[in-house]
Amino acid sequence: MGVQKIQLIMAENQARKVVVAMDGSECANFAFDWYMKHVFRKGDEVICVHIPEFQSIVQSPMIMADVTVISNLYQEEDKRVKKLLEEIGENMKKHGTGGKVKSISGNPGEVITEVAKNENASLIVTGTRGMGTIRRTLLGSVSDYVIHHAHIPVLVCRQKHHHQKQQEQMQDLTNIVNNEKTQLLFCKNKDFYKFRISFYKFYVLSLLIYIDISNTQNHGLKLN
Amino acid sequence: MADSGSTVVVCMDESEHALHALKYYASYIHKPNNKVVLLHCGQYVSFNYGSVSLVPGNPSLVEKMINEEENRINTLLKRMEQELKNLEITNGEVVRIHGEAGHEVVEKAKSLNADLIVTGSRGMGTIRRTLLGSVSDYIVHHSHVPVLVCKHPDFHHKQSKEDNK
Repeated sequence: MGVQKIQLIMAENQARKVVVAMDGSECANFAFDWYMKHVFRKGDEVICVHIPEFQSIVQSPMIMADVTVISNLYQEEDKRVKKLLEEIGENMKKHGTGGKVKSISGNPGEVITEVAKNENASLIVTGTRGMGTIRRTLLGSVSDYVIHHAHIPVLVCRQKHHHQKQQEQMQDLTNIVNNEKTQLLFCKNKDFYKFRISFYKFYVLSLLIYIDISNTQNHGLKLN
Repeated sequence: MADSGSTVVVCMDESEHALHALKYYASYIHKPNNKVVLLHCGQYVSFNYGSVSLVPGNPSLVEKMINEEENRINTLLKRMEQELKNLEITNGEVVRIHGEAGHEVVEKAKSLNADLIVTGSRGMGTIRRTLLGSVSDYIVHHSHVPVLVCKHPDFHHKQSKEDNK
């Protein structure tokens, strides 16, 4: 019992690094506030990680290779990212901590786990949008990825009311399914770029399979 | 809000992972006026595999098996109380719940008005998790309050070495 006590005291005095995943959404801000209120200790170093996703713009199939459109979208996304980073910095000052703010592009889950490894962090904090099982599988869930691939404890902060947001997402989805071209670019929620992409991939795959099958049938006729 | 303690629910079973989660919580996150509730979902293990064919035959045998299981679970609960004392958590208690683990933990946390749920994780891969079920997965996706998932560092590295082979 004495050894356990000593270990605990040592653990308490060690400064620890905490990685907080931020994307400017309400869930992420809620997670950050909750962490500061309940878990934060003096001496903690807080590292906020933001992952701007440019790939969702470039991979969208509806952009007809127009260079000016793509560069405009890049510039807009750049401005949004800078604004977000400033907001995050102000948020941290409000709560009275120092720390770092990082902006790294790439696959969000992988980036977060890599940053945690490189910085030797001891805790990861994420929010969650409360998606159902099917949406999580189709759209992907960053918090799911982080929980299962990080080698350190993960704190997943869930808000109590997310039903309203789910209704909004359903409306966006029906808009996309009904109207093709311009709706996609002006869609509020960029997650549905990814849904669109996975849908197109499935469609193309099923087309390829159909073509293959039809070829083999022709072969059979020729032999006869 | 920070002055009055918050209620924290820790899910415990007999594995090392749960114990590690409790120790991590106690050393890094616990504040002295938090109330800690250890939940254990007692399950009759021996009834599920092995001697099922003997069960309908002999009522005294069934009674014996039930007594053995109860003894095992009671010793586990006492060990958990001892752990709470070792970690010097003053306002803690051990509660036993019945039923399906994930579902019952979430319901109990709601009724206790918990502010945080702490679980361990066995670090299973995606397929094992889907086929065998994972309590921590269930809790993360169905809870109404923040969830802390703690992994035991040793087991995680062993798993990844096996996968590489």
